[in-house]
Amino acid sequence: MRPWFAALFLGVQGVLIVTAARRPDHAFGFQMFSESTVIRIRPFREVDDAFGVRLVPIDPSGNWVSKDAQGNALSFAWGDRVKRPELRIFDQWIFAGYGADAQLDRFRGALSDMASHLEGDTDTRRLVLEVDVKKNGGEPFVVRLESPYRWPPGGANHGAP
Amino acid sequence: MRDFVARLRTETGDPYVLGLVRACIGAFLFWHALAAARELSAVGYFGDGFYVPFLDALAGRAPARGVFVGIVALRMLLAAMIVVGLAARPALLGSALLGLYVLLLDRLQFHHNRYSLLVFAFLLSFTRCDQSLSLAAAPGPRIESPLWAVRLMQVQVSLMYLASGGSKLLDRDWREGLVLGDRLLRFGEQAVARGVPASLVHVLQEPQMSSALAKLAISTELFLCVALWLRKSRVFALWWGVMFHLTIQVTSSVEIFSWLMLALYALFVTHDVRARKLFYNPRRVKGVALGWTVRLLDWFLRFDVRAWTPDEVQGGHTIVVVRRDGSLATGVRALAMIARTVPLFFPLWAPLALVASFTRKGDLHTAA
Repeated sequence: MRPWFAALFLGVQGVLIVTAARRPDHAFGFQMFSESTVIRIRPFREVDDAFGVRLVPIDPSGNWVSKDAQGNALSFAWGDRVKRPELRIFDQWIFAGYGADAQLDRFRGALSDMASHLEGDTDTRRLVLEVDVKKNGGEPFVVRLESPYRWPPGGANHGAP
Repeated sequence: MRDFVARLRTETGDPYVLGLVRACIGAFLFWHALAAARELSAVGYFGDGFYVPFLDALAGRAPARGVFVGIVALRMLLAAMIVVGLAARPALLGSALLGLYVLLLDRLQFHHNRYSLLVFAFLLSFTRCDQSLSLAAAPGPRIESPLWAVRLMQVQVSLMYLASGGSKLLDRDWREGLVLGDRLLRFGEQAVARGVPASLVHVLQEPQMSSALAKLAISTELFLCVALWLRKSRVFALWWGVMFHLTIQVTSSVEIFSWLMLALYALFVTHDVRARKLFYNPRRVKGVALGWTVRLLDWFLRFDVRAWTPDEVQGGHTIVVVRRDGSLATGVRALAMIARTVPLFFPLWAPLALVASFTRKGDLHTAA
């Protein structure tokens, strides 16, 4: 019984370690200090109004005001949905502890989650993050993350979602 | 391999040291549960906002806030039970499963050190770690206990070094020192604040130096994964590993990871108790001080410490150590022996052993 238990345990550990590279955060792979990456996030709302489709910067505090179908002001805060401190810091270089892929994946998820919780907002078509990434002391590059459209592009928003 | 499997079936040993590892792991689990409680109070409940389950089946299935508060409280209670040894083995298993459940619910809370701790708590629950340093330990001598789960924990330690060192070896940026160099630049101030001399930090930040350090770090992890298993290299591997983890502790933020690994090193000590003797001269202040220091700090119970009445053989010595094989050591060799076996003095072992290797004066056995 003991050898079988040991074989099962070690087999599971082995599979988790070998497949860790497939996970953005390399979870269960014991890849300690795998990168030295810093990122800087700039958040935007994409709106389509009298000025056309454009990106409106969101304040670094993560708070913004939008409109409902009647034109009334609606307040939103990134922190209402995203609680983790490391996912709430904008316009500052922050260390990405588990690497660029992990942090971008987490921000991508947070973006979609936030966009799906903008109840009553008929102004914001989608949310966008522009991410400056500096990996292992190299030259910075920009990654753009976009939430799904809250209503089809070109279509009218009938009070969605 | 066949020998290893056979040992899994039959090997037994004194489980004393497992009680020590259990108390440490319990303390680490408590620290983590306390941190979770603090986060709950400061940041709020993760289930009320954005979180990322590891499994699709867990999406949208975070427990109600009240249930989660109960889970955190239970984790603290179980950790306290583990420390004092009350129903320690079920508490270890429960703690590991609850912790894994929370990690699987929200991968934003995943950290290698948290997962490692839970894996070791899980494996430790299969050992007789409740026979020592435990409120619930049965009176009388400890019973020799199976060591199969201890061997699994040792393999897990090696696997971690292999995975960590192997992944770095395969990464060009790591091999060339770019990752370590950038980390040293970013966290240099933190290291200085923790007592590392600023001049040393500046030297380590030089590209050539960080490149050399990266190769050393990779070699160290790959060396440890093998050398901990070999009798001839084990003590040096443990010492080198202690230095490695203490260096990480002062230069990085790794929660309890360094202390966890140091506690797990106790699993690699030979499972015997009071197999060595330490005689000290009760008429000398130094002898009494050393005797009592070893009594207090000999957490692995390696020594049978006794005062002796000086005679013509031992009269010139403050302490005499009788090794496992019956050979005697005095002077710097005795001090090296104490450093080798007393955890708090272990960092001093290599320098003392190096000094002792240049002299036979202090060794009665070889001088005779």
